[in-house]
Amino acid sequence: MVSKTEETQLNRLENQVDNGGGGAWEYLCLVRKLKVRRSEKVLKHGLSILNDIKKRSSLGPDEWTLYEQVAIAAMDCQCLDVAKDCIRLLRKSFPESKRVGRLEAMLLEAKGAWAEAEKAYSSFLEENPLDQVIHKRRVAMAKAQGNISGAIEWLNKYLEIFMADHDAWRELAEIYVSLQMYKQAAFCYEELILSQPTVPLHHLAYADVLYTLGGLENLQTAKKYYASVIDLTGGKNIRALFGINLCTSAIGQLAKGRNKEDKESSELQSLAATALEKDYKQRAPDKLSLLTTALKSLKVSS
Amino acid sequence: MAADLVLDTAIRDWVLIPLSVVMVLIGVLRYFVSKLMRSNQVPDAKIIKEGQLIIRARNLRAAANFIPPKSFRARRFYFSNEENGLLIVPKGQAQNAQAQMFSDPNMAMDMMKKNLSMIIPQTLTFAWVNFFFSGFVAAKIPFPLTQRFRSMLQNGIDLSTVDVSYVSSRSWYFLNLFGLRGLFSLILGEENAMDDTQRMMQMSGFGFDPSKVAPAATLQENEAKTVEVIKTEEKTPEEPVAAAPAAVPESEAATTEEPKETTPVEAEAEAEAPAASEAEAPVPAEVETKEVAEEPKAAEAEAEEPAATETEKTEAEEPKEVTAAEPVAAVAEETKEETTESAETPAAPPAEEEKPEETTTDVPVEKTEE
Repeated sequence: MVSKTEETQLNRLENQVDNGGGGAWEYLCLVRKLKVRRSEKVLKHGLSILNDIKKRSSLGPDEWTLYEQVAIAAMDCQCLDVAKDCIRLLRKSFPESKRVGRLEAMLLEAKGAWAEAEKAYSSFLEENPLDQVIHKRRVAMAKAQGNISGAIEWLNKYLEIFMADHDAWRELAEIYVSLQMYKQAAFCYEELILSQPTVPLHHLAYADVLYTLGGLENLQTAKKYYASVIDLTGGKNIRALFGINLCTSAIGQLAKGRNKEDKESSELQSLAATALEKDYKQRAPDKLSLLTTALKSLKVSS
Repeated sequence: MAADLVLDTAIRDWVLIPLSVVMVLIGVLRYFVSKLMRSNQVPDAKIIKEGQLIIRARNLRAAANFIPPKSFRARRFYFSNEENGLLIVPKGQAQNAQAQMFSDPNMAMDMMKKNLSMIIPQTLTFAWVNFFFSGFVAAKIPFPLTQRFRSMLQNGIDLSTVDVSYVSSRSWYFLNLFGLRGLFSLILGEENAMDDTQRMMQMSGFGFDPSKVAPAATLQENEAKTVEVIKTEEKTPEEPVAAAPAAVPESEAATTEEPKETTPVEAEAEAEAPAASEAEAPVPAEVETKEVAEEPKAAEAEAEEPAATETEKTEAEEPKEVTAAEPVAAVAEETKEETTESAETPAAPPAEEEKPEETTTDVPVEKTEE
């Protein structure tokens, strides 16, 4: 997770570097440390350092780290020639390295030589079955090939060992949602909520999944999660406000006649609706009419 | 007397400075030697998995209130069911740290290497210092000190008349040995510094490396965790509505709940026997509460609160903050599990210290009822 201060620092540095203010190496270091994906910038500024012999030699042994970083960024940008050159140089100075081998496998993957890359990865995994990066590469590869069920399989295998890796859970959840396997996705989102209970996005996604699943119980739970998103974001989340409205009307439809908590739920709905109206008035007054009609249709149907 | 001693400058040139230089060089050398000798450890899949499992279980325990009770129960079962729960370690299989250490020759080997790389140069340098430089004053510190520092600064000189601010050569060696850490962290990088004092500490405990013991210790911890997970269960079923998002705003469950609370608390004053009979109720009540019906909830609350001991009264009087970490009341069906398990877990957090008492008071009640 990139914190706000780090992000502002990163943006400031990026701005500085873009405008020729120097500090490219610091920027690259920060990008590496925060593990953010800004491949184009990394490629541009990294190459400018690498092509300058004086700057490059002043880095000392960090030069090779930079080569690796630039190689990966180049692969991300499909500048395969650059990546090839970087990897060739790395291979020259580290003939035995597995890390370089990994890069070579990634190059194969970037070229689209799936079978060869797969072979390389599996041989790495045989040597060291606990290499997280390679496990993840495999998932990514399966996904890139369009082999979604394969990706799920790999991810499940990976999560069996590294079950506290919430990023993997999130990936799995998103894959499940894309396949409309909402029950499984709900499980993954629960796992995410468990590991990061204060991140409203997980609550929101979970609520969405529950709402999509439907059924009275799920809808009620979804409403609670939308409510918790509102609570966690301080009422700033439009999607959650809409979610409350949708949930309430859906619950009203389902539980017509036998709902005891009708009063309080409609209160929540009207609160959410007013919050929405206020927000629209402030930011997009010309769309206010759309909102009011939408809300009205929800109210009418309930 | 003190001012009389004049130190030869040759002592500075041939003892003080060489000694420090040698100590630094040896420290650097040792760092590289130990780096060479360090077998690159292949982490065990089982240990990693265990670690990850513990993290996940801890997350579950900490954030149980954020997921619906049904999901929580499913997970609890997955982690801690008796047959094949991930957190269950069959009795007798949980090795203690010592046994595991001896069963794994690699571990002992590693430790040996580590200790050897430290003991050998240290004994050698000490012998060297002792042989060549023992028994004379090597330096003087520019400020006076109290008598207590004599043993620290004048090791190897048995004269009580020498002023304490003089430093003997052997003491200079020790000062270097322990005082060069800052310098090493400068030369070798922050975390690479050889921390002699720390190592010394480890040695005295037969080379117990806390990082090594950790995975084994988690095995034992597992049981404690299981119990804790079981205990957390009692939080969720009581309040399925507020349980889910702990932060459900005012209009949701909280308002409907609070007025109900006063009655069960008063009911506590009643005799415990009828309460115990009610205590069986939660099982059906638990299922029903999902419907957010108010009636079963009240019944459940009534059933549970009286079952608690007097110590809990104060807690129960608070508006139902079940989401807080404190265990409020033991669900009757759980108490049996707890009595068996909580006996073997000394490492329970302080909040749960009351548990044993509670269960002992509860169990007799159950028996009379049976």
